[in-house]
Amino acid sequence: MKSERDLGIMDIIVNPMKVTLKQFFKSTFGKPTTVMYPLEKRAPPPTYRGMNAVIWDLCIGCGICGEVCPNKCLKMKPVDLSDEEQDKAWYGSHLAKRKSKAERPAINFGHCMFCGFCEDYCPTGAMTMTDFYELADTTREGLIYPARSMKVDLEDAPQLPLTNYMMESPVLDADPCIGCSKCVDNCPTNCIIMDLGPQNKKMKSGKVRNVENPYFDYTICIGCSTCVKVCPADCLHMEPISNSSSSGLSEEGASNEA
Amino acid sequence: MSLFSFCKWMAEWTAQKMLIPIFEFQEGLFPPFTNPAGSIADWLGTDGGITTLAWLYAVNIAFAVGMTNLILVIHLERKIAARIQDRRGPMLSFRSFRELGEDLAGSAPSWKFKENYAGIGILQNLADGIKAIAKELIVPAKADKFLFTMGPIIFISSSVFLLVLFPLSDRFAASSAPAGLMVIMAAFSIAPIGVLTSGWASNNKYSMIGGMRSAAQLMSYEIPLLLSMAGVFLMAGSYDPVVIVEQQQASSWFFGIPIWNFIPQFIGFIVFMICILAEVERVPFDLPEAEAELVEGWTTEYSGIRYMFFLMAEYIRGFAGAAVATILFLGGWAGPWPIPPEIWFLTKVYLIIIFWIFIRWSVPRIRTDQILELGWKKLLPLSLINLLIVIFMVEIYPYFSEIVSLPEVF
Amino acid sequence: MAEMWISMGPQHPMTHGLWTLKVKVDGETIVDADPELGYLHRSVEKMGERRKYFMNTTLTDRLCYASSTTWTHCYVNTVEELMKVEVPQRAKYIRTIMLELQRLASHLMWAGAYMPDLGHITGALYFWRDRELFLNLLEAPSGSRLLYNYIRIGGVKRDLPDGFEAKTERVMKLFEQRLDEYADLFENSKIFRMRTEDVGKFTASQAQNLGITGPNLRGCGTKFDLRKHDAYEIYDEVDWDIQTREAGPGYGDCFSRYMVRIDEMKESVRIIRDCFKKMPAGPTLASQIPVRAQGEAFRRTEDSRGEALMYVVGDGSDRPYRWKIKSPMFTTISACPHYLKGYKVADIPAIMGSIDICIGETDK
Repeated sequence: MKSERDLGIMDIIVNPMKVTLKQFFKSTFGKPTTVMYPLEKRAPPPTYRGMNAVIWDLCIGCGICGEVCPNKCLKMKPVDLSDEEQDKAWYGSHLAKRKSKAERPAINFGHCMFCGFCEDYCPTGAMTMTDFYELADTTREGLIYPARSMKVDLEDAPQLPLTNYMMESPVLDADPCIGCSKCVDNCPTNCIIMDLGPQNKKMKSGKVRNVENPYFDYTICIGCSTCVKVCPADCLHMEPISNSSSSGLSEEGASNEA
Repeated sequence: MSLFSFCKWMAEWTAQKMLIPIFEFQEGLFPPFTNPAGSIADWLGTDGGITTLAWLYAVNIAFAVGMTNLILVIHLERKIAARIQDRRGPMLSFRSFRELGEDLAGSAPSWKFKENYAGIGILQNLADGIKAIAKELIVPAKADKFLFTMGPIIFISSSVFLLVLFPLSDRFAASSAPAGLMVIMAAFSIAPIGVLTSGWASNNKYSMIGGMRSAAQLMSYEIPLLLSMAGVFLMAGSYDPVVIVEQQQASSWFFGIPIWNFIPQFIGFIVFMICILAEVERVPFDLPEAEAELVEGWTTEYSGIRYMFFLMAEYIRGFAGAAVATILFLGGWAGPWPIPPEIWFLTKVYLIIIFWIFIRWSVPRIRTDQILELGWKKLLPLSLINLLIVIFMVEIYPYFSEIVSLPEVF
Repeated sequence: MAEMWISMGPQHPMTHGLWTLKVKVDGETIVDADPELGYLHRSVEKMGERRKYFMNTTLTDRLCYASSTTWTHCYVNTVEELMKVEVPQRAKYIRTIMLELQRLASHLMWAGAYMPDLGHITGALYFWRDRELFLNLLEAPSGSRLLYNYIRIGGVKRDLPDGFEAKTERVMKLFEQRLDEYADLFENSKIFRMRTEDVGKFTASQAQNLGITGPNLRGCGTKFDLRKHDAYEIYDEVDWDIQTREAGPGYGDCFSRYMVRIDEMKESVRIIRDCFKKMPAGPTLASQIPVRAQGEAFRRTEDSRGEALMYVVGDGSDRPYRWKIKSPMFTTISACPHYLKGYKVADIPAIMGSIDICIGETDK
């Protein structure tokens, strides 16, 4: 390994020049390593993290991408879905019925650092990153991409099983629940149903009523914590999957990304 | 026909056909403005007027040739550096513009750069020149404004002066002074004044250290440089480039092949090449403008065309230094017949320059103390040894060979 | 010439980042030096306390842009210890491969940045040309060229793509060939030796007292490498040796530091080859990755520049309560008056370049 030799008079200029001379002839009669950028581009690998694109039919508007974005550059914006889009939407069909407006992500690329978390944590695989990287703009406003501009239509978008990458799922702390069913209305995957709960609740009028409580189907829960956020009585909280009472998650699904 | 006689012929022709009629016409139009000391037209008719005009032409031709070579040297440096470093270098040339324009006009909108727009990149020099001229000339607030402005002027003027001093051949010479090489070296040694001036006047610590380094380096390398040249002067017995080249061509060893000075004075040749490299401040001796520690040294505060002047002057000095080396040691313009001597001369000069370019991109920079040590402790004794050898060859051996009839070797 | 202070930086070609080195010179000799930091402070630790554990890998990527994977790995290792996550064996091998590729890229980045300091522009372009090859390799699985965000808590982001091993082998073969070729240009070049030998000397004991770690310490002949002495991932399972070099008995100079890094690059190639040979199949991400953590954890790893050290305290929420980063370069830069004094101004780039400064991790 330790191979440097005793230096002679040739090592002042002649031997270093041999290396450069060799390279000179190599790149004069061959092709230089550099690429003429604007006109000749190197091909990024398929995993490349470039500009985001949303496969419109797969997006369920859960907002996890905005949740995991470290720079908070991604926000969910309401969009008006056309009838055709509503029909094609995967889980969106029933969401569109319940909500007045569906939501899709919009990105401010001036803040985006292309970390790829939105792509990795997307439960349906709707958020993808393309190999397009020439996003420079002359104005800051030009870097804000509205939800519609990220739309991508794929003919055969693979409908993967919903996966909980957040590793948490909501758990009901039943006592304060008032049975408003807001969580059911807002759940993007329709994994909550209201059913009669165990406890009775005393109303303001003095009447005692049996309140309906939410029940979660953990096989399709994606851990987006929308229900926790909308709950007016703060009766839900997130817990790690293993602690949840009935975790329906397949372990293989959690470990292997699509 | 020499350059000067050509210029004289041209001066006579232009004076007779163009200048004298124009001035006479002008003086006839405006008699009140006629020069009281005698009209210009009359002066152009005399021998002195024609000679002055001929000198003007000759100097301008030499200047134009030198500046063309300057552009070529800069371009060569860029392209060779790019090839060494596995790059492409500048690619834009007139051809690229034409084809790009055609494509943009809609005749053939193809964006294949390699086939269409890649030129040899000669336009990069033009782009750099325009950029340098367009930039603001900044003078630091606390700088000595007069000296700050004078620094680049001294540097560039002494360097451009060099261009007209060396002949391209015995016929293509703008000046033919008997002390030609001494004048060249005198012009070479004006530059440290400009460097010191601009380094000091910038009122910047980096610039001052750079200026001091440059002055120390140029002054300490001047001595071995001139001593190694002295050997050649002794052999030729003259400072005149023409005489030196003729002496090299005349000295034949065997089969009539001339022995140029770099063979008998090999030590002197090596010393001279190292010293001239230090004199023109190229890598590995470019520490006055070491960009890593001194941020371009004494040129730190300069901007725009003034900075460009420094760069240009360095390349002119490089070209002139290579030319001096060619005259002194490589037989000047001498060469086999079918190729004209000017081409021979430029070929040798460019070979030296290409060698320098390869050195520049192959080795790192030397440190200040090391460069001074090399100059004083190694090169100075070596150049003295070379001088002793030459004295032995030129004076002592012939003296004794007259007495004891030694074989004629030298 | 009288003594005077010269301020080098924050915008100076020597600094390789935003910091100031004030040197007091007597003519060309350095009498005193005073490093100043703080131009690039981004308060990474505080920012990390407001983000979830997994999001902080984006911050650690940006600690040192030349060596982002090693820093992310240090953080992830600490958090895994805090959360008690078991990492799959294949993920450990992939991590080791990525770490060594990153070390190669980082050392090549350093070598490329060191050459212009000595006035050798060609060297910069040669080394950066080779770095591109390793960036291509790092890009293939992670999807990015500089800030990879590839190592995740509990494993790695995704498995290596098809044909990665063959591609890596090809690149490594070419790289080894080129390193041999470069020997004449750099370590066997007389002028390069003149600039680097007997410059920036410090002894091993001095380095240990000043907290200098990593290749700079190994350049003094001290056999200390956390990959062996506090082995993490699978460094204790693969074949490799600690590379040391000394200029004389117990001290190192710029040249020995240069050679240690060149030898380390060759050693990294050896580690990667061995990893590919021994790599098992299996999952690349742990099945159960907690989100919340309680307690405290502490981990040190061998960064490309020295000993990276992280300390994380969790209070049971999904964000760290306290996060402390100890950077190797902070101590090394702070010690610069000790190894700058007595040398020439022209030696400053040669010395400061040879210790491989990265201001991103120094200022945090």
